[in-house]
Amino acid sequence: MFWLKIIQKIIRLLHSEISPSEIAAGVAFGVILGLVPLSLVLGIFVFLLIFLLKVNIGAALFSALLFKLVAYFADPLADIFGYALLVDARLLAPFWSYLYNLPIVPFTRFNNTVVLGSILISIILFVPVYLLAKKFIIYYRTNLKTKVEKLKIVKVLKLTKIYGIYDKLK
Amino acid sequence: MRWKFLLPALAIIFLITLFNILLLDILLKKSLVASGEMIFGAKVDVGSLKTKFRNLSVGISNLQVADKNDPWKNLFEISDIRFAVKPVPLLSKKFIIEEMSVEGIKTGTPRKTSGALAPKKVVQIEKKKKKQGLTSELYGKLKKKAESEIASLPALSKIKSYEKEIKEISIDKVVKFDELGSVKEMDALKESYSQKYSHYETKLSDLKLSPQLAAAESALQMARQIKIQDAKDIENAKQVINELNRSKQELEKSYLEIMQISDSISVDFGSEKNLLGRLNELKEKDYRAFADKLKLPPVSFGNISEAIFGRVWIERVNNVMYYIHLARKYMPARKKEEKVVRKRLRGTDVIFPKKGTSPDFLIKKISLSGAFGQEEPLGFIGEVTDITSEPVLLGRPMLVDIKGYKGKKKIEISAKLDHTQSTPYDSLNISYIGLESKSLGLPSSDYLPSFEKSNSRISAKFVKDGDIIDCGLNLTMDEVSARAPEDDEVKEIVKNLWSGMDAINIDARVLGPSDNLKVSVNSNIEKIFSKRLKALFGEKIAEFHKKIRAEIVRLTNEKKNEVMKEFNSKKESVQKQYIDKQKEVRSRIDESKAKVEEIENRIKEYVEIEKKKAEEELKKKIGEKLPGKLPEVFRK
Repeated sequence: MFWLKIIQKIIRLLHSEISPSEIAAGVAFGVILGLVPLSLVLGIFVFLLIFLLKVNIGAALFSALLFKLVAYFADPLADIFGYALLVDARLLAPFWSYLYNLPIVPFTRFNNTVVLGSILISIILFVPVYLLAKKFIIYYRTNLKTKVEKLKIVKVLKLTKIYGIYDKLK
Repeated sequence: MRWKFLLPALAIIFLITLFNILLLDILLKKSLVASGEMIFGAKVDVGSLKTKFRNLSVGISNLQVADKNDPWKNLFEISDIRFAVKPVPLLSKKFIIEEMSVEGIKTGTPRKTSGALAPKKVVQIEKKKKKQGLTSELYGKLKKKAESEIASLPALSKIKSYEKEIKEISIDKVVKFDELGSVKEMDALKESYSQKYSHYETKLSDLKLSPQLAAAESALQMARQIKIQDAKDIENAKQVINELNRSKQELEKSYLEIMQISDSISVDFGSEKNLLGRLNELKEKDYRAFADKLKLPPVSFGNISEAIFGRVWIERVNNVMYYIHLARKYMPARKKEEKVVRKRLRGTDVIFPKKGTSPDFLIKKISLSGAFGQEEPLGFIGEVTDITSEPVLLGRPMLVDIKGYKGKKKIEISAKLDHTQSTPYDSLNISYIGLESKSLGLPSSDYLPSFEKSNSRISAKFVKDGDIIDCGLNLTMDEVSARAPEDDEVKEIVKNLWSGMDAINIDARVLGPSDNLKVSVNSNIEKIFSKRLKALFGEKIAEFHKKIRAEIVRLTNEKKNEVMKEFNSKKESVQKQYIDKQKEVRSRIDESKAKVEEIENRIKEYVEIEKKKAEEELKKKIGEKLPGKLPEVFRK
């Protein structure tokens, strides 16, 4: 039932009037939420950004859930990247040292290899994921939306109580 | 920008923070209990934990840490812990505590509930410890070794066998006539005297004295019959003299031989005194051989010290090394240019300490006060300085200094954990006078004395320099008292061994690299036990020794008399034979000599008479031819 609800919500989101950029930004922020092991400070910072910027929160949470699964496999890679940046890259040492001794910043736990590595991976992935997501939403709404609506499964989902309430609110 | 979301977002953040703050005390308490249980392997109870945001202070009361080896006791309990975290460094995630006060420390207090952790939790903790490298498996082998030694107490089990052996001793079984070497030797001696007798008898006959004596007798016979009446008789007499001289010479030669053989008989048979000495020597040899069977075998108590104190000593060393291991993990030593890395989460935390800044974690000073012991607690005060996560950055070692006095009791503890260089050096020195010996946790056994009234003087050092461990202990326990009388005879003997022992001194050592440690435990127990055991069984053994001597004398006396009789009879008999012969030969020689002299005198007399006769005749003839003149010439 859980996965059914998830699919239902994704379809609703795609079929909504919310702009593709807003949803794509949510997906891109979801990469950060999913991949980076967030400390309290870093978490507050990312959520503030999500709240303040025109980002779809639902899309961010769905994306975070998806990338949380990816993170399980990506962590070893993040560890390698993080170690290279924090330990091997001697040129960066003064910069890390500066950050480390600033107030609040150490609470982000940026000095952890997995945290820094995953931040790096999410930053690298942020723009491509945003662009790909936006392109996909536009393509979906233009070419796939009517076909999907005709699918029996979607019709069944539309009949559900939740969809009804949602429809009324819409 | 969605500014309308700002307020709700801030409200949510505020609520999350507030929730954390409200639950902070509970979270901290939980975390304190969890880390305590992981470190000490037993239940940790916290009465209350309160944080104040006004001054960032923390107060912990009634902290109890159970003893994993004795769950119904606390390893220690603390009535009050107070400290405040400096606010500004906290913004940079630096926990700096200027002074912490730890009051009301008590050790070994009883617990109302068991302090043992649930088996499931123990397994979890062990797994976690293993993952974090906090296990003290390193010294497991040493522990096992000590345990096996306490289990056996072999030296004391020997007492049982001595006791049994002594009880079963019977003189008839120990001294057997057939096994007496002296009897066999006496038989051999007796036989040898017979052989010697025969030998000298044969030698006497080999001298062939009878023909010589007969020849001499015949010459003498001839000499006795000889008459010297004319010149012809003189000629015969000279022949007889020659014959006498020849036989006399032969007899003199034989006489000399007899003399020589007589001398060798004396040497060969020896004197009666020598024989008696020899016989006594043989008996003594027998006595020694039998006495050896009853001799108390050398008693080795080499393992008693280790058996009694080994396990306690190893446990103490193990505990101290475990805490040193923890200190080295959380207060790592490193080269100055080396990066500080710690395994955290799924990655590694890299620390970037800045010269001149504070370490991430620092407690500058902890003031301690409390009491050791239960019945007569020994109050103490002390301080611990410079506990830090980055000793290299701080540049100062962690120091511990605790002192306590009460009457004759005195305690001094000092420690230095120097992790400021690349090779860490940790040392702990303990000096305790007047510690109740029973609190040492010595093993309880029927074979051991009671330590109820005993007090100890301890001087111990625990050093770990790099990977080299050097731990030493000098322990003196006074007033060790024997246990109550026992039905078991062996236990009674053991009780006697302990009784009156004024003090026990133990010297223990653990030395070497952690993968090849050498453990030694020495004490004065071995020496005292050995001496006392010898004294205990010595009396019984001495009695048996006397009996053995008497039995050997009884069994060998008859044989001894036989040998003496044989010796005397054979020696005397053979000597008599030689003396008789000697006399006979001597008399013949003397007789021959006298006869020769006699015949020679008679010849001389005859010659003189004949000479005178010839002169008279000559005078007469001259007088007839020259009358009147010759007498005057002769007269002139």
